[in-house]
Amino acid sequence: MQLSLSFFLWTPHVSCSSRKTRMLARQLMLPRMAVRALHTTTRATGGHHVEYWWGPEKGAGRELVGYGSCGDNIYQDRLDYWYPAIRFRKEDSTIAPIRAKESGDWKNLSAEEKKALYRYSFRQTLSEFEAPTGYWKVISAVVLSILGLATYYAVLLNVYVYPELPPTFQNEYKEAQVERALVLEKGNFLGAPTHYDYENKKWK
Amino acid sequence: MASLTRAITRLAVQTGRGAVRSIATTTPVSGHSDDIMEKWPADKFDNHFITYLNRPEIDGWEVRKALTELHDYDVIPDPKVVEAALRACRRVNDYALTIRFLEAIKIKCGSQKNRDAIYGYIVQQIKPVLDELGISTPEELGYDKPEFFIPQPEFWWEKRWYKDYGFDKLPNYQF
Repeated sequence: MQLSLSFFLWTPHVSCSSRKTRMLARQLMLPRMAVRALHTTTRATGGHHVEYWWGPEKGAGRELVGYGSCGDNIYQDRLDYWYPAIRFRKEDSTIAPIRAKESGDWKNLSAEEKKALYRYSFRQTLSEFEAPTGYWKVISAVVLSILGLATYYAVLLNVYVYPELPPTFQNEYKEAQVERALVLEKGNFLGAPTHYDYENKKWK
Repeated sequence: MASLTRAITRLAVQTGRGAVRSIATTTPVSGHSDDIMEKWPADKFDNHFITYLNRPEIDGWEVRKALTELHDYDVIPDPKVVEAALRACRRVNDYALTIRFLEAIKIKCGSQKNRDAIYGYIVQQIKPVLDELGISTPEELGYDKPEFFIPQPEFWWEKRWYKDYGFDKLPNYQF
């Protein structure tokens, strides 16, 4: 185990250096023009395209206060990144006096002001985040109505669309078929005769 | 004989290394014992965050960075770390972040049983700091129970919610 582990640990280094030497050898042996890559298309810059980046529009003038989950200035409530990148609301005349008060002693803040500070920074509390949404009712209503409609459709097909089953599906026909097999296919290694005891004339 | 073979091998390895010169631009990692912060001893882990949060020149972005990183680890922060974080929030004048951080401790506690036991213990331990800074816990503000119903923006909405919630989500196809 120890040996194989060290083997796997060292393999990348070995292959890396050998790749380096091979690259070096190729550059020495081949003339520069021969290994030059031909580009028929313009090179894509890759990554984010500024014209498709809606960060500032989603931010909508709200203060950027952190990194968030991915560095974009969007507001997300996530259990794994609990501190969003921007505040939830813009600074306005309601919050400005409370912000001024916040820079002083926090003991002077009333409970309402503390809640307002929270609500201007964050959209929902943890208990609101974890509260059941009730959407299971909508989802189960949709799923059950689809199942019910499918059942009605199958019944409609069976009653009005499909023809009668052929008479060979009736039990008399099936039993007659087994009796015929017992007589005609005696000694076969498959089917009904293998389950029939011919000496005592009964099923095994 | 064996030592001779080994010496030759070593010589070959050394000359080989000399010929293929390493062009690494980074220094190799020497030890693997200290790489994973979760495997650090507890006091070292705590001191890492405490010293970062106690820096006098820390700003709000850095406080959130530290709290986010602390949230990433599979640990429940020690009361000493919590105190340092609350004082850092005080220094950058962000009251909402203190409540948010206390809620994050609840998230890290996991199950409701752990939440009752460990979160209560942490709040009890940091009580002097809470009183000194004038911080109310989420329970004191009534945030342990949902205050508002907040519909999911990307999901089915009742008709009247568009009016109640200020057309935050625009109505799509109308019959």
